Order: sequence, then structure tokens, then C-alpha cells
Amino acid sequence: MLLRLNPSSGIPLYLQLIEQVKHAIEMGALRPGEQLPAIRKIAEDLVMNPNTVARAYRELEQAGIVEIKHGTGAFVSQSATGPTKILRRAQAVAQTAIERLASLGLTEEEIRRLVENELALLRVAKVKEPAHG
Amino acid sequence: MANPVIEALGLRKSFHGRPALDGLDLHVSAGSIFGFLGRNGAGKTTTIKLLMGLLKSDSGSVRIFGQPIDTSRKAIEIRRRIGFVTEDKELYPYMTVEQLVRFTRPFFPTWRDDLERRYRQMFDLPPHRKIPDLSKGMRSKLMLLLAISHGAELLILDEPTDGLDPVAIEEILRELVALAAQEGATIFFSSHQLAEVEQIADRVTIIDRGRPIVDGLLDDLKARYQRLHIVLQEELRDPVQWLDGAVHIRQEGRTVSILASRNATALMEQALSLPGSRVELCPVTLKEIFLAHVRGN
Amino acid sequence: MLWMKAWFEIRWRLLFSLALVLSPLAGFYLKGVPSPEAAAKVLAVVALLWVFTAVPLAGAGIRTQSPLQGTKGLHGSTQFTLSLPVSRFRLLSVRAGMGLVAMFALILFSAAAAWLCFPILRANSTLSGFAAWILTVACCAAAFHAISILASTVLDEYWHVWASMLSIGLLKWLTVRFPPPPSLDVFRVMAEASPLRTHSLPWPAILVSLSFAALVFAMAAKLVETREY
Repeated sequence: MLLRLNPSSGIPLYLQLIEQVKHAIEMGALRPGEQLPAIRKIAEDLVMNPNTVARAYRELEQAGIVEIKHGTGAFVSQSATGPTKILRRAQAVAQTAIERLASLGLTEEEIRRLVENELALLRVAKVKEPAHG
Repeated sequence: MANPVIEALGLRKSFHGRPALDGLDLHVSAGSIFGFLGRNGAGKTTTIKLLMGLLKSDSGSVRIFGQPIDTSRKAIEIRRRIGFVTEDKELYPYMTVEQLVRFTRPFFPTWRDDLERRYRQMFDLPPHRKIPDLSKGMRSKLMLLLAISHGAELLILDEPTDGLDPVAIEEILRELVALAAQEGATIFFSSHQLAEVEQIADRVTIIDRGRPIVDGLLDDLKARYQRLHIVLQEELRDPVQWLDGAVHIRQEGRTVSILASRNATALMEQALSLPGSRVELCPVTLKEIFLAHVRGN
Repeated sequence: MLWMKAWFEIRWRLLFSLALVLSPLAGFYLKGVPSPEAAAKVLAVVALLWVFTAVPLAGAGIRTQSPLQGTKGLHGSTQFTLSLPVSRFRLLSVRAGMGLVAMFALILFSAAAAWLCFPILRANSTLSGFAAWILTVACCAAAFHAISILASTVLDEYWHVWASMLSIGLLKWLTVRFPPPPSLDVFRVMAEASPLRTHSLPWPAILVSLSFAALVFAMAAKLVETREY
């Protein structure tokens, strides 16, 4: 599984890893039922913190994308084909939205920034504000 | 936190009346890779010396593996489980690499010959070269070899990649990660290389002038910290009382850049409430967080 | 392994000390030692030198020391030493022990050289007298060695060297200015009043020296525990 993370991008590494795993599933690089590399292996191959990898795996499990079997490892869940159907629908939504934005005269760069902005708002809303700040 | 490996509470230390540490807490849990950041003179090395037992704090306590680290018998047993790399990487000027390894080995009953062989090969240290003839990078590697080869459960490293080229740095980072992953080692390290901290640390603390100013899980920090780019229709006549969370505010004409440590959504709404404003949210790197907090604002 | 480290730190100093002690002996040898008074002078000079070699041989205590240069400040590798799982007491004891062993070897060797080169010393004495002499000197010198160890524990950089030398010089001056009872004057006991001439072991001086050495070393051992580096 070829993964590329950017530690200096500002986006938390565990989120990047989750994205990359999801992407790998969508691309077919990982098939339902297939085993994911061990946490240790990913940590060493990517030279990243094993706890961060573990967190990504936990969230993937919570999202139902991955099943963790104690003692054996993490496996792509059978229902992970779900994302592909959803993805086709999402692709239609994105296509319409971008066509409309483009027809408003926005450039590619402007559209990209708009989208990243909305994503940032979403990300920020997800994180629980800590008690002491 | 269950059984922290390092637990420091309220550390204070002054030298000749000048405070070097002014109330530092540290909680490092087992298996964590903890990044300790700060400018030169901020108190990093003083903290590490306190952890090593070279200094005694004026007030506060330090416990490693649940025991205070002083010169008692128990502290000696604890030192068998810790690997240190000091800041200046100075080692005995009259020994060769081989002699120093032979000297160090008997102190640690848990010495791992397999690890020693692995690192001797990886670091390619000439065994019969005298230590003063080694470059700083090679001394860093040698010190790391000594710290790691005895199967330490805890590594306390002061600038471990000092003097190393990018290839060597990546090698060392991979070994540290492998130690954490395979041997369950806990790693506490200070570094000026923010990129490497960003890469492998799960928790960071930034200290400035002896006080901790940022502390938390790296992933959480990166999610909480956001940069707001605000473009206004006209320059602000009255200063805006920005909400809590705006750490660093820079205004130039009609653009305002705010680094928010939290409350980014509320700040964004506040910014949008200004007449004719356009606001952008951008993720923030560890370097930006660091500079915003330690550069005199 | 600590003994190996101590040996590394001391070997050139031992050589230097040996040269320091043997040079005046060579000078005297060439000049000739005709009378017992001249012999007494030789012994006095050598005894003083023996005592001063306590300074280089005690070294910098638990701090790392380059073999030939003194310590430039606190050598960084001292931190490495202190991070090892070994008590500071043991670090100090081994280094002090090595210093004592080196000193004893130095005394033995140079005393043997003097014994062989100056027949006048052999004239009134026997081999057992020689042995008694060595023992006396070793015990008395141990006291000065302890002073050096204490200085190295309390002071940094080159200060401990000056402090040791000053202390020893001061003690010598005091024994000259305010002569103590002859049985307690360690300087005389090592030289003019040595077993070579008196044919008996100067127990008071030996006991005082050894107790003093033990006391001073105990002080150093206590201080080294709490010092900051």
C-alpha cells in the first residue's frame, strides 16, 4: 500500500492517514476483507508515531470502514464497498457544484480555496474545545 | 494518566537569582513520543538535567517510573532503564569508540547485543577512532547507540539529531519510531527541528522563558489552531476587540491575519460580521504555532 | 570499567609525576650526597614532591579529565558519567582509589631508586627500615591526596588545582612556622625523621594522617552527593 503523508501540511497526521486508507479502498488498492498492514509496519515505513497510526485505525473502525480483530489485525470491512456507492453520488454532487461555480466565473484556484475553507470550518467544528484552552 | 513514565510537577529552578524554570509540569505516558520545544535558553536543557538528576529543583517534584530521581540507590536502578543523550554530545576524550562501548556495556545488565550490532553497522562508526576525532554528527550517533543498546524503556534525548544530515536524521527517526512500536519504549526528546517533531511526536510541550506555553496532543493542536486571513473593504478605524483565542494578530492596511489557538469558528463569525469582509481559514504548521508563541509579540 | 577509565585519566599524570620526582633525585645523584645532612636534604625535597603529586594524581575527582591538560571548565562528558547507573560514591571512590594506588606505586618506585642510588641511605638501615619508610610515606601522603580529592569535589575548573596546592603549601609553611611535636610532623616523619633513621614506625603521625585522610574523604563523599553539575 503506497501512502504519502505530509507532516508539515498543518493537517493532523491521523486525519491524513484516514483519508489515504479510504482513498486506497476507493481505488481498489485495498479490497473488502483484505488485511491492512500492522500498525508497527506503517509507523516504521512512514516514520510516524505508532500512537497516531493506532488512532487512525480506531477512527476507521468507528466509522465502520475497518474491522479490528484482536490478535490478528485490521481488515477492510465487507461493507466498505458502501463508500464507493456513496462516492458515485458524491461525485455527481461535486460535478454539479463545480459546474455552477465555474459558470459564475470562478477560477479553479478560487473554487479550491472556497472548498478548503468550508472543509476547515467542518474540521474545526468537529474538535471538542478543551476545558482550559 | 495511568502510570506516567515521567511526571514533573511545578518545577522551579533558578541560577544566581535568575529563574531558568518557572513552574513546569510534565506528564509523559508509556509508549509516547514526546516533543519538547523551546528557544535556546528557554529552559529545555535545565529541564533535561533535572530529569537526569544532575540538578535539583528549587521546588516541585520529578518522578520517573514513579520514583524520585536523586542520588539514592533506587534512582540508580531507574537509571538502568533510561538512555540519555546530552546536548553537547561530549564523551571521554581519551577513549576510542570501541573502548567507550566496552566501558558502557557492563553497567547495563539488559544490554542488547543484537541492537548494538545493528546500530554499529547502521551508523558505520569506526571502532578504533578516538572520540575527539569524530564529527559532531558521529558523536550524536555514538551517544544514541549507547542510549539505545541497553534496552532502555525510556529515552531522554537532548537534540539527538544535532549535526546529522537529512538521510541520517530520517534513519534515526525511523529507529526511534521502531523502538516505540516494537519495544514499547517511551521517548522524550527536545529538538530545534520542528519538522522532525511534527513527524514523530504524539504530544508536544513548548516552553518559553521557563514556562510552558503550549501543551497537548499534536493532532489536537493542529486541529485547534487555524489561521484566519481576513480582507476588509476598508482599513479599520477602530481596533477590533477580537475574541479569546486570537494568539497573534497582524494587520496591514486592509488585511488582517489572525493565528487562533482555539475558537476559530467564533472568530470567523466575528470576522465575517465586519463590513464587507472576506475570510479564509488555513491549517497551521507547528513552526507557525511555535513562532507565534515564542517570538516577542 | 571505572578502574579502566580512571587509569586512562591518570596514566600520563603518573608519568609526569614520576619525572617530577625523579629529576631532583637525578640532580642529587650527579652532585653527590656525601653526608647524612645532605641525605636528609634529599629526603626533604623528595617528600615535599611526593606530597605535591597528590594534586595531579587526585585529578578532577568524578569529573572527566583529559590526560594531560587540566579540565577546561566542566567537561561535558561528566554529564555522561553522571547519567550512568552508578552511585557518585563509587565514582569518587574508584578515582580516589586509583589515585592512591598510583601514588603508592610512585612512592615505591622513587624510594627504591633513592635507596639504590644513595648508599648513605642504606648505611644505617635495613630492608625492613626501607619498608617502614615506604609505609610511613604512603600513609602520610594519603592525607594530602584526600585534600586534593575534596578540593576537586567542591571546586571547578582549575580552581581545585590551585586550592590543593595552596592548602599543601600552607600546611608545610605552618609546620615550619609553628613546629608541631616531632612525632606529629608528617613532613619530617617522611624525611629527616623517617624510619630510615629512627628505626621505628612513627605511629602518631601515621594514625593522624590516616584518620585525617578518612575524615576528609568522607566529607568529599558526602559533598559529591548533593553537588549540582
